[in-house]
Amino acid sequence: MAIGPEVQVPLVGRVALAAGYNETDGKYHLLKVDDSGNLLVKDPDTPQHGYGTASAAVDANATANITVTLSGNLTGAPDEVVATIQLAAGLNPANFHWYVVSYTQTQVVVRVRNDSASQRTFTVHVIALRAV
Amino acid sequence: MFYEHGYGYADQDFIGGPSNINVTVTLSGDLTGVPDVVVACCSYSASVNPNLIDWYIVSYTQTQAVVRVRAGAVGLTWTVRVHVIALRAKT
Repeated sequence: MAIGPEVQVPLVGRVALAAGYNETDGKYHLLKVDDSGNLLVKDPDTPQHGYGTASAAVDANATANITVTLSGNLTGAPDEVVATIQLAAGLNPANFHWYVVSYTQTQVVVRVRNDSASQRTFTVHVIALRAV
Repeated sequence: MFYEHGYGYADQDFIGGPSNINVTVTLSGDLTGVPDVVVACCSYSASVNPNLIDWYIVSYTQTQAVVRVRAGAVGLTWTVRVHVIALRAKT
């Protein structure tokens, strides 16, 4: 990782933090020096939060809450949560609805509605992000 | 933690009354392995009644996602842009 000249190193306690510019990917990365003097390069994708999927069968003309347990770097509460449903091929999208009800550090609740005439299996995909 | 796997969008014209169309979105990005989580969203012109557009994910592969979209109204024509973001878990 090539670090550009824009490095600034404010000291926080005994830990030094810096924003380092990676000439390879053109992004700034969070750098950290631990107590032993080792340079730790934080993952360029941080901060993320979590993601997950969950499936449930929902009866015809019924509503259900589907809870998705998140995996990932689950620190703090997410700032943004998005969800989408996955269903079998060939159905009429107008018969299926969803929205995010609530979320915590580790779980997201998505409420789904099945207005079709048959029981359907919903798979809910969730991505939760945390602001820098 | 997760990797950004891929992202992309595809435009689909809906002409006349409501119709259901499978829209294939080709992904750009890292595209290694199969995504673990996929989300999709549609965007379209202002003033359209949201009741006239619905969608869900049908399937996805390493490089593509299929989103089924229902849109359209009698006498109206518009283009729906289907956006997809795919992520892969970091192991």
